[in-house]
Amino acid sequence: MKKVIIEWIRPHCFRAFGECDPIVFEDQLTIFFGGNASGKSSLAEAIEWLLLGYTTRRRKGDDLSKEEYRGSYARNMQNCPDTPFVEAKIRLDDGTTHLIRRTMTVPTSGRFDDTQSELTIDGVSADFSDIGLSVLPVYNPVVTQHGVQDFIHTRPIDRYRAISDALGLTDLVAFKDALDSARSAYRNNPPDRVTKATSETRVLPSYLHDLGLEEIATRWSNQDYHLEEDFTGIISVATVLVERDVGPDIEQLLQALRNEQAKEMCRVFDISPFRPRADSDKLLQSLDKQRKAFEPSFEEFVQAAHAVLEVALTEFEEQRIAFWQTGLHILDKSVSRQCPFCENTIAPALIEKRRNQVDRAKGNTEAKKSLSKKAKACVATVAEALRILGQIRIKSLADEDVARLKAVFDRSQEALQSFLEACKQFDSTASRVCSQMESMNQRVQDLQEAAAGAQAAEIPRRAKQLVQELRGLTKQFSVAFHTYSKAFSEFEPVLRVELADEEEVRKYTAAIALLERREDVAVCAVNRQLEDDLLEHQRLVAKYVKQKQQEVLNVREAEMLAWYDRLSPGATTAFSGIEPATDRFILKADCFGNELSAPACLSHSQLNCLGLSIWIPSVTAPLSPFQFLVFDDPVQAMDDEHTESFIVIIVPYLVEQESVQVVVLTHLKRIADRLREDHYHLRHRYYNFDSLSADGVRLSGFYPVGDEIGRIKILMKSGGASSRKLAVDRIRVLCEHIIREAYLKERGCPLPDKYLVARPSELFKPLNELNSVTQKQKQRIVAAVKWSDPAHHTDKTWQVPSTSNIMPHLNRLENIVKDLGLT
Amino acid sequence: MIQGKSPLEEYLESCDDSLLKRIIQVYAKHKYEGREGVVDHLTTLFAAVLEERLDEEGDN
Repeated sequence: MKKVIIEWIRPHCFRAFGECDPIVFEDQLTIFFGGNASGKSSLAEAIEWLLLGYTTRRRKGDDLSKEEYRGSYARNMQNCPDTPFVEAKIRLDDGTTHLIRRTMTVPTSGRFDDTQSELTIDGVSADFSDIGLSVLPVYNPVVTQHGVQDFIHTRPIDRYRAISDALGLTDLVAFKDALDSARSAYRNNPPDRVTKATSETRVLPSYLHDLGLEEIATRWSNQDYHLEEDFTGIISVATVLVERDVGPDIEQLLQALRNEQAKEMCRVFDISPFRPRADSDKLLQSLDKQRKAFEPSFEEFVQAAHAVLEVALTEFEEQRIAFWQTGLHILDKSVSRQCPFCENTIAPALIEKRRNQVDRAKGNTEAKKSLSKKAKACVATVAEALRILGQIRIKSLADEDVARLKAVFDRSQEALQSFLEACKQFDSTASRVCSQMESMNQRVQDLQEAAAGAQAAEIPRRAKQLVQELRGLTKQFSVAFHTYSKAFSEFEPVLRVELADEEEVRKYTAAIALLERREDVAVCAVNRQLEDDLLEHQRLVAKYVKQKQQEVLNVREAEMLAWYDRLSPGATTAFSGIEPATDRFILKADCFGNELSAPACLSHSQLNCLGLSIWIPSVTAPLSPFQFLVFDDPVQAMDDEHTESFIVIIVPYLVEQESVQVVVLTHLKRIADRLREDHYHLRHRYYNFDSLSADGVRLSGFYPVGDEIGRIKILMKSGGASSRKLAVDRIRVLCEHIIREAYLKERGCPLPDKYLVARPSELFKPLNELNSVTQKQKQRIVAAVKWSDPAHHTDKTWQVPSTSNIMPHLNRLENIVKDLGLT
Repeated sequence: MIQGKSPLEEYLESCDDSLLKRIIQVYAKHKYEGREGVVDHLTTLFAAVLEERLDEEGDN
């Protein structure tokens, strides 16, 4: 198993970083100090992103709000428009080195997505496995503050996720969570087809009861379907109901059931006499046609009546006309001009007059004949209209029909009442219309007689009245009929439902409903099976997660306890173990032999220790490819005692016992200094994060002595008296640094605690004990301290030294620093 | 833990149920889309599986 450490790293336009020089890591210990928002976590995340392609912080953020965290990997500022990348030189334990680089994949179009990246190793697109590294989340070497904080006063589910992260089971647990959520979402909001089928099949168990299929009914009530077996049973019962085998075709069986159902319904109540004829519209059109035909034929009748009236004005008795006609007939056959009856000579003018009178009498007869014919036509039209009305008219509801309907209707009373009312209205209108139309025939005949009786003035008025009346009656009938038809079309399905529920009909209704909804049943059955499968998978995944957790814990638990004991030795209440459970881990604590809940009983600081104890074994695990561990503000919630344990026990143990390259980022100067001073003997580096600038993170190496010399030189350059005076004071501070650093270098540990706040002059004693500093060097240091003693400032004769006075001291001290190899 | 494989990859390989395999594959493909996005993809998969099974049921 190959192991890797980092030689240097260079984040570019990543998080808080802009352009940046390589940050060199020491083999054993690298310390970073920086205030809040100076870029420490950006460096930790750069390492995590380089190795894993994501950061745990971003993963958590995306779960909370993908929108808020979108694009947060990139330093998306105007002065850093480059494509973000992080590169590092890594060294494997076989001595080989590689340049690894992860570059964000920036899409050329579409929405910016910073979660895609490409890894190259030595300039070639590759994977860590190509160089023999098994990089997995389980070995995440970055211990973040948010990862540690997850153990302190958080919900069990959040702690569960945090521990799962630490155990490298993030993806597995996230998958389980996603499956749980997806299953719930699917159940709560199934496809439309399932919703419809569920609604349609809700009533089916009661139909199964009607058919005596109790066992199936009980199962279907619990959405337990055995499709083939269940429908075989239903078909069998349905076949018995129709009393004949209709073969395997379900549609034929359904048709037979519907026929039987219709018959049974008729037995209960036969609605057919009340159903409007199918050809009603056609008949209504015929009625209207009759009505329209009546108008011109009546017009003709009126004209004929007028003709009769005209000739009737000159009318003589029929006997006289016949007498004249006979006389004229005899005269026409005789040569004389004597009357054949009185034998008087008749004047030709009289003969002509009589001849005219006879001709006109003939016309009168013709007119009367015509009037009679027209009257008959009108009467026939009205009779035809009446015949059509009779065809369209609906049978009146008898009292016994109403009583039967009322017995059938036990739910939709309102619908029944509406229908009964519609029947009543239509019957009333139809009766009135028929009656009036029947009377019209008599009135046509009366009119005919009136014409014959020469009652001229009456005819047009009465004729017009008749035409209008017929028009009105046909319209009333038509409107009433349409109203009834509508009422019937609304009523019939309600009646069918009511009839379907009648005891005699219900079995057919049940069998029809069950067979008609077999597709809906299939949808429900298949969906139920799918839901069962999903539930089973959910259980399997949960079981697998728990199994994996136990597997990892079997290896890690002892290590976690050991690390916890190192961090919190000798506590009366201590973390005592971890146990996987469903959607949580049980963190146990021991207090005088009693098992307690660790989250409830351990202190804030102890819980911080617990968090570290769970994370550290990720890297020290034998299969971990990482030989380095990055702590991002690891002691933020820890008290002094536990912080001390971290500094003096954990860090040296990791470096010296586990050979781990340790990187610590802290916002506490005293922690950074203590780490440096206490582990000065280790190969170490110390960096300062300066305040963040618009260009990004500003990072510089921390050199106590060298930095101080630099500060004094800057003061000297300005040349003013106040700067020179300050430079003198800084020279005294420089001397203090030289003594402390020389002591640290020689003894491998800082000056004893009693010198923590000592004045430079008080440090002469330990200075004199140092063997690495020559006598001459000691004298020069002491001289410099005395020269720069602040007591001089109170001397009224003391004047600020000139540059030429200061520089010799500074030069001598710089030479000492150089000779002693101090930085 | 098999060297070089995440627990989810291990699970996918050890799993012999076709539906569960599909669920894992859809999850793995969309896991970077955030919780909500992944859940949507999974419910869409469930609906598709339902249709497939109904088609099979219809064929039978």
